[in-house]
Amino acid sequence: MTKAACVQRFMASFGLPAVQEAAFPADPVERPEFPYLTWSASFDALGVEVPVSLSLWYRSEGWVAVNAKMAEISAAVGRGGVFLLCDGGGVWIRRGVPFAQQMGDPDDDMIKRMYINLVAEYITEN
Amino acid sequence: MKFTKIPEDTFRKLQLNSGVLATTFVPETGAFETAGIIGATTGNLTFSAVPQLIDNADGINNAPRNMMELMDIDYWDVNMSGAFITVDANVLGLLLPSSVVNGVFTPAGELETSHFRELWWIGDYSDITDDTNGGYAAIHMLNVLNTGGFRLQTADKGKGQFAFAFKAHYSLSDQSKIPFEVYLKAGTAGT
Repeated sequence: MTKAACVQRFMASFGLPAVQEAAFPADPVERPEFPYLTWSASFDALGVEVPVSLSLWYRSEGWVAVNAKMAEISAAVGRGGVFLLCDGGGVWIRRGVPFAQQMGDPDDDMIKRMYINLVAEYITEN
Repeated sequence: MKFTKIPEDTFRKLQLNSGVLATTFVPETGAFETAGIIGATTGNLTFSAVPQLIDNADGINNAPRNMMELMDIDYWDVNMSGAFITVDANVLGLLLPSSVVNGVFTPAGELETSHFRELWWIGDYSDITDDTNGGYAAIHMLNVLNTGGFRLQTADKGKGQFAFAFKAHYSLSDQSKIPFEVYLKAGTAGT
């Protein structure tokens, strides 16, 4: 499994449609329905820590549901991170700083976005 | 480049994160209770076990120094240093050889064997680190005494830190027993 596929699999493990930000459809008709998750990652090799981020997108009155999903992801990553296998080795995904931040949408006050910071170290030769 | 490479199994042989300091651990099974963690730590935990060597070639004419057949170990100097950021009676008792009466810790003027404690460091190891089958690296230190003294460093808008310098000791009851052991066990695929 490639590094990108490994990260995609991790992002898709939280019960929401997970779409890489670089591949997010420009056509609103093709976009997933709320709630969904978008993610962005950098890739490198052993010894380099790179940023990984994901955003939870909910459309709701309040923050209860999105906070709960954020807590689920926080628990999954935990204090020490998660170690996932990929081609050539593995990916160590850990908490970033700050871990999560609430954001809104200037055009739609019903949209609740939670921006989550992670870091990854790819334990691979390349 | 031919020699700018890493072993293919590098990801299976990493020790990850700071680990914990505990009073008990069962290396045969990896059984561990979070209630056994002595306290939360901050910064790096540093362990060292340095053999103090005797060069029996010393004083022998024409004998080169550091000849392996003439080297002996006198003793092992075993230390663990770091800092706690949580403190309670257990941590205080470990940091400060003392007697405790009604919550008052009176430093000991004389050492007793009861001041020397057993200590474990356990850390995550290998590519499998779950609660059931996770691998571990562990160091068992015997007869530990905090030889760094009782230290507290406070910080404005920060957390107080209690630095420690634990040293393991031999015992008259078993003078050949080296006061530390190292354990290493890779995680196993779940069943």
